[in-house]
Amino acid sequence: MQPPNAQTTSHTPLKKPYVKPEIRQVLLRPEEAVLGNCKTAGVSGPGSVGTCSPGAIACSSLGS
Amino acid sequence: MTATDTPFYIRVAGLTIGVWGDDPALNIRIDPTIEQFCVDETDPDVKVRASVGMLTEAPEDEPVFESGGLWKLSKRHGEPCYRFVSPYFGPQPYKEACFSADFSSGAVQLHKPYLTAVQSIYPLEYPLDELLILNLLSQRRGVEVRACGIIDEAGRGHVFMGHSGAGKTTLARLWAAETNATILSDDRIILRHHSNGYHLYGTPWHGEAHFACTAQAPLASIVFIGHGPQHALTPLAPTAAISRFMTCSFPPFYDPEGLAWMLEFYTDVVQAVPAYTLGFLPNAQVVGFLESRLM
Repeated sequence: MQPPNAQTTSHTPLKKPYVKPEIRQVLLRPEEAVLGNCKTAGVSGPGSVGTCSPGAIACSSLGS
Repeated sequence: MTATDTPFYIRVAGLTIGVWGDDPALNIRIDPTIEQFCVDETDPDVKVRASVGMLTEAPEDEPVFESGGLWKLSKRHGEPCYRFVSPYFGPQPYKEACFSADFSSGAVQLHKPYLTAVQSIYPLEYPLDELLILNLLSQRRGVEVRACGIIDEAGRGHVFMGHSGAGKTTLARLWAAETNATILSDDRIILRHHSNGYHLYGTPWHGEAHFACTAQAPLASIVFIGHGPQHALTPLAPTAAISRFMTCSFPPFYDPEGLAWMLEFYTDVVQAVPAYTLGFLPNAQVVGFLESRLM
């Protein structure tokens, strides 16, 4: 003889165990996250066009 | 190319920018890396008009975000406006780029005193082109991450994320040397979700190895990389992967809705695609190691 609630039990989804919420600090690198600087270390200008990326005003997009 | 020529169109990760020269004084030249991302005439997601003029103070602008570097974002009459300043020139902006609120159209103006008569210019010069794509992505379209991305010989995409110095360029060079994999980028990858799942795309904003490819592929694995004493690939729990994603992203700090969308995207992608951490030595064996475990 089956227990009275056997059928009900087999269809009851398992509850996920409770996990206490936690605050996790994520360390960002602002200098890498906002595209604030040229991808190359050098800075070009009108006078230096030809030695850096063609068409560059202030940044060459070549390299990281 | 001059202002009288036809416009040019750039497509990155399926998003298209159309640029029209709007000034006879402007000699437009497309950055060589960008050229392979140019497409035929189409209806673009963003229409940009470029011109030369005199940039002056803009006291009516409401500050929104200071990058701490080349650009700052303001609101002008409620619409976004970027101004670019370089130490080379001094405090006067060398470029201004103002857009409609939905970024469907905009105008770029270059400061005439800084240009020579014969100078040819790419009006969307970095970082404007990338900022523009980031704004389009934040409209629930996708995310860009700091990563090396490859398509393996079976056509499956793998993204290897990390900060500067983590080994993205090293890995890209090793994949290129040791396999027939397609290297999408050694520094920037875009991830998008389509009806058939997540995809990764190459971008023009490459790293030192200059890998920049327009291809795309279904995303099969997500790997956060770093140098280590040996090759070790470790599965990463979804919550930990979300945190790692944030550190390798370009969060739109000035856009709460875009920021929420980014978190939503990461929450979903880490449920759908397996994530790992990889510690590796910079030698060719890491390629075989990864092939045996990911492919």
